[in-house]
Amino acid sequence: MNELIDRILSQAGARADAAEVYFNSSESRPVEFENNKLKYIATKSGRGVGLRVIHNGRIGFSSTSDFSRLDELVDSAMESARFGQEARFEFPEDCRPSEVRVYDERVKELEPKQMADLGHRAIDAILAEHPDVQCSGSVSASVSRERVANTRGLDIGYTSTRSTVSLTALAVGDDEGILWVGDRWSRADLVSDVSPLVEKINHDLELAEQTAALSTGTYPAIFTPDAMGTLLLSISQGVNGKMVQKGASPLTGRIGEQILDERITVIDDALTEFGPASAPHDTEGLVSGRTTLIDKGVLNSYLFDLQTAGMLGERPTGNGLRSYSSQPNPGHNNTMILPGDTPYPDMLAGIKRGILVDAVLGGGMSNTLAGAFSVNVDLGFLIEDGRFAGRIKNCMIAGNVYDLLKDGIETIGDTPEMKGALSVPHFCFKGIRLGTQ
Amino acid sequence: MIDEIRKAMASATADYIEVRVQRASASDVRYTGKELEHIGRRTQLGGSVRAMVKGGWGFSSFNELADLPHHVEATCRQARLVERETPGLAPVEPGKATVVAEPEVDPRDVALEDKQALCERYNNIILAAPKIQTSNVMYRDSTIDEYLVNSDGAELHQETCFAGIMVMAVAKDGTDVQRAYDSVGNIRGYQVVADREAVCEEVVRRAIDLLSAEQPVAGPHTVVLDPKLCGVFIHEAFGHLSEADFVYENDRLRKIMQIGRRFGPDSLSICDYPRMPGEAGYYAYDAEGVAGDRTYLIRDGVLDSRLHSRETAKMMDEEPTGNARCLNYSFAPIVRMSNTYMEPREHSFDELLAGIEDGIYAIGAIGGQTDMEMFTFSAEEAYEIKNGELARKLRDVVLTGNVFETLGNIEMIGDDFEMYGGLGGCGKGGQMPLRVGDGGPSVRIKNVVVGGQ
Repeated sequence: MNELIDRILSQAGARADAAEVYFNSSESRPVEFENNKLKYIATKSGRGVGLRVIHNGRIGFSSTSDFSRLDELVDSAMESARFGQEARFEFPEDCRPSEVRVYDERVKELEPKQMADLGHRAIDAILAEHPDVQCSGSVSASVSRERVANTRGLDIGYTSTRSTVSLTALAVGDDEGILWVGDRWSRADLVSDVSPLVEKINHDLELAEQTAALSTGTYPAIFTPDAMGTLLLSISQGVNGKMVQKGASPLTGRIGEQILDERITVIDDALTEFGPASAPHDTEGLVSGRTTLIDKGVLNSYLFDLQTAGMLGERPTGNGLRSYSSQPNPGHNNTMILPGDTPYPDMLAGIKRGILVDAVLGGGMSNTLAGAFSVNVDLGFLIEDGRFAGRIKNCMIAGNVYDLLKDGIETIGDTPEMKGALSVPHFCFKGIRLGTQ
Repeated sequence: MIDEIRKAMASATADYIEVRVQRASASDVRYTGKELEHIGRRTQLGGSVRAMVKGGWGFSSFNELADLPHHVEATCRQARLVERETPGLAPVEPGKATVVAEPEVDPRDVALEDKQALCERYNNIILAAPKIQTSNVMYRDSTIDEYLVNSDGAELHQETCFAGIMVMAVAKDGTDVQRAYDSVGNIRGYQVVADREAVCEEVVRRAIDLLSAEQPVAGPHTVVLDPKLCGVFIHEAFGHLSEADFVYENDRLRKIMQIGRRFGPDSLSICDYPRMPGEAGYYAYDAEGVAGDRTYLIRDGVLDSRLHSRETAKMMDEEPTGNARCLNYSFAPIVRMSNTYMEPREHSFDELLAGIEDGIYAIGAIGGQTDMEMFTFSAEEAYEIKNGELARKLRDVVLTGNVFETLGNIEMIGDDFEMYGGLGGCGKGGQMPLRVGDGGPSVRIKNVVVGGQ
C-alpha cells in the first residue's frame, strides 16, 4: 500500500507545484443483535485515498477507492486545480506528533465469539429485570490506519483501535406507548465492562414505568450529559473557524468577550487517553493538542484547519479533519466541559417541581447556528420534591442555547460523563419553556 | 461481471447468498460565501457478500474485488456462527434485468467547468443581496453501476444517475443569523439543476424575512402544512412505523399494527412507490432483487399493508414489497421507504384556511425524526393564521405529534400535489442519507403541539 501512495505522490508531484496524499483504511468487525438475538456477524473493510494538489496557487482535489483508476485520480485533481480556491497555506514539512494512546492490541485481537458473549451478557442482564423488553444493538471492534504524506517531505501516520458497545431496549406498554432506552460506549481501548450500560438502561426502564402529565409552562430542568449534546451543537458550530471565516457564526469577532456564564469552560482535547476522538496529529499532519475554546465564559479561541487559519491570518489549531473522500475542514476532537461543584443528588433534591431531560427527538433540525433549539422530549421525567414522578411525553421544549448558557444556569454537576467524544456533567437550568397538549 | 460473480459464488455453502458490486463516479462543486470550497470528481469501487445459514447472517464488504471467492467463503463461515432459527426468506420471482439510467441530460456529458459556472452564477445572486452574510451552494451528481447476483437466481445490472443542487442564504443582523435554503435532486438529469435563478432570489427573500419573524406560542395549534412539509410529516408520522422490521418479531407491536386498524379519516391514503418515474427514491428492483411496486400503507384511513424485505415478509406471512435497500455496498439491506406520499383530495388552499381562528401555516421542511410513537418535523418558515387569513411571519416552528393520534386529527386534504427529493435523505440504522422522495398535498391538522415561547 505504501508503494501505491508513493507512486501517486510522485506522479502528482511531477505535474503540480505541491501535492499531498491522505490515505485511510479501516477494518471493522461488528456483531449485531436484533430483538434479543444475535443476527449478524460482519466484517467491513474499506480504504481510499484523497489527493490534494496546489498548482499555480490554487487547490485541486480528487479521491478514489478504485485503485485501478489512479491515473484518473491525478488527472481529476489537476483538472479541479484550474478552478479551485486560492491556497492560503503550504503543506507542512514535518510534524512531531503528540503522545497519546489510541491503540489497544486487545481490541484488534477480539474474536466474534467474545463480542457475541459480551452482547448476550448485557442483554441477559436487562431481560433478568425487564423480561418484556426487546434489545437490539451491536458490539464492534475496529482498526484504522491513516497516513498523510506530501511533496514537502512530510510522511506520517498512525494506527488506532475503537471498541463500541451500543444497546437499545424497546418496551411497548399496555397503553400502546413506545419507549426506547439506550446507551452507547465507544473508546479506543477495550470496552469489556457492560455493567454501567446495563444499569443505565435498567434504571431508565424502571423510572419510565409510570407516566406523568404536565401543562404548558416554564419549568426548572436538569439536562443529563446525553441531552447536553444537543445543546452543545450550537456552540460547536459557533467556534468552527469555517463558520467564523464566513462571518456566519454569531461568535464572529467576539474573542475576549464574556459570552457564557463564568462557570463554563469548554476545551477541545485530542489528548484524552483512549478517547474516541483522540489523535497524535490531524489529517493534514499538524500536531494535535488542547485548545481552550471558552475560558470561564470568555470566548478564547476558534478551531482551524490550515486553509481557514491561513485565510484569517490565525495560527492553525491542528483541527483539520476529513475522510479520504473530502478536503479537510475544521472539526472537533473530544470536547470537554469542565465540571461544576454540585453533586447530582443535590441538584435533583433542589427541584420542587421540574423536569429531567435525557433524550430528545429532532435535535439539530432548527436554526442551530443562531442557538435556537426546539425539540420533543423523547425521554424525560417529571421531578416533584426532588423525586422522579413519571415519564413525560408528547411535549416540546424550546429556547436559545446562548441565552440559556449565559443567564439560565442554576447549577453545574461535579461529575462529567464521557458520552462518545463529549465529556460533560449534568446541568440544571432555572427555567425551560415546555409546550404540551 | 455477472459471470465473474457467479463463479465466485459457486463454492458457497449457505442457504442463501447474495453478492453486490458497485462502481460509482461523482462530481461535486461547493461554494461557501465567495469561496469555491470544493470542486472535483471522485470514484468508488466496492462489493459485499451477504449469506444466510439457518436464519443467521454473515456479511462482508470490501474494496478489493480480486478476493471475491475468499470473501464468499469467509461470509458463509460467519453466518454459521450465528445461531438464529427463522423461517427463511419469502419466495419471489428472481429479477433478471438490465436497467439503464435515462437522464434527459446526462450530468457526465456536462463539463466540470460548466457545473462550476452554474454554481457561481447562483452563488453570486445570493451574495449580491443586502443583509446576506454568506451563502452555500452545493452541487452533486453521482452515477452508480450496480451488479447483484443471488443464489435464488437474481441477476441484475442497474444503473442510476442522480443530480441535485442545494442553495442556501444566511442573513445576519447583529448576532442573529437566519438561514433559508432550497434543495432539488432526483434522477431526471442535469436539467433539474438549471434555470434556478428565481429560486435563489426567493431563498434570499426568505432568509431576510426570517430576521424579523417572531417565535410561535408554545402549545397545541391547528396547522396547515404545505406539500413539502406534508411529505416529511407522513414519512415521520407513519412511514417508519410501516417498516416491517420494526414489528415483525414483536408480538405487541404486531397486534398494534394489525392490518385493518383505523389510523385516520376516510379521505386519508398513504402510498410508497419505488417505480415513481424520475423521483429521488426511484428504483426498479430493490437490494434483494425484488421488483418494486406501489404499496398502500393506509387506504381510506385504514392500515392496508406494510413495507417488507424478504425476511420480514416470510416471518409475517405477507407478500414481499421490494423495500429492502442499502445506502451503498458497505451496508446490508434493511427495510426502507422509497417515494412516500399522501394522495390529494378535493379542498382548495382557501378552504383549508377557512374557519381557522388561530393557527399556523407551516411551509417547507428542515427535517424530522420519529421514535415510532412520537415524531417531530420542522418547518423552514411559517405564518400565523388569524380568522382564516395569513398574518404575522413566524420562525423556529417545530411541530410534534403522536403517531396514533395525529393522523386521526387530519381535518382536510388539499387538491394540490408535489413530490420532493433533494441532496438530503433518510437515516436509519446508521445508513444515511438514503435518497428518498416525499410528498403530498397541502393538509390541515388540528391539535398539533408546537414548541415556542
